[in-house]
Amino acid sequence: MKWAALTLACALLSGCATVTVSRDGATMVNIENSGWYLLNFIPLASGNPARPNSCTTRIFSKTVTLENNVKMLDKVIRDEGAVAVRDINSFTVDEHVLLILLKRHAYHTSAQLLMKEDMEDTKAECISPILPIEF
Amino acid sequence: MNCRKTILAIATALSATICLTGCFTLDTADIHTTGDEHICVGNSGWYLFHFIPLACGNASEDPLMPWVFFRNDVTMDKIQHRFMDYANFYGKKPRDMSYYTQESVLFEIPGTDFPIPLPYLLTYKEIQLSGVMK
Repeated sequence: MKWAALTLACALLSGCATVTVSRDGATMVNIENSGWYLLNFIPLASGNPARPNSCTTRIFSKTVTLENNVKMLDKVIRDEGAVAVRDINSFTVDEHVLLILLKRHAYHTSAQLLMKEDMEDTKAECISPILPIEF
Repeated sequence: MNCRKTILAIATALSATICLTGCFTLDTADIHTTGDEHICVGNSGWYLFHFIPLACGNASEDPLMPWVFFRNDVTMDKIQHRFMDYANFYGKKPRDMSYYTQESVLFEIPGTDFPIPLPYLLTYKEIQLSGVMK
């Protein structure tokens, strides 16, 4: 019973890094990384940006950053074979438990990936073309 | 005596919350696949009766303290000013700019899960501006 309670507590307090791609009409990517902080600043557990969509958590390290979300976005861009990207935007959401005792901090990033076939009716100034891999 | 201690504890917890949860942030990250830079600027703060600023993150360029009291820095103008300052400093052109705002008008009674049953008494506001620098 104690082990079950401990496991449940760990599961509730663990962070999560997720990458979701929707290909219905347009290729949209949504990235979320979340983690728990003690007294607003001390990181307890957060998602593992190196292995999104898996049940892995980083303990006592601050991985909920814009930099990590952008790294995950870079990987999705390469994996999906996109030629350009547009409408990149990010925001954070904080939830507090018992004032500042516990905080759940989540960073969300989304973007539209453009494939070769999407490029015909897209204005060049609205997009960021993907650089060759050596860059 | 116990009542006084409780009130003191609540007041301390409230002060800490107001100070520590009002915060100005400027996050940047390079997008290696495009060579662009992604930037997210945000500020949050606490208000009395929705309009009187109590404490919020300091959006000044050279802040002495991370917080300011009784001054409203949680505005689109101030956030966008810092965003454009950053763009101008590095000679970059901003794109894909979008705002995200959040408001909470029901403050929870400290130590409980119940909100104070009087909306707009103590409110929390947050504004974030995200964009790409080309």
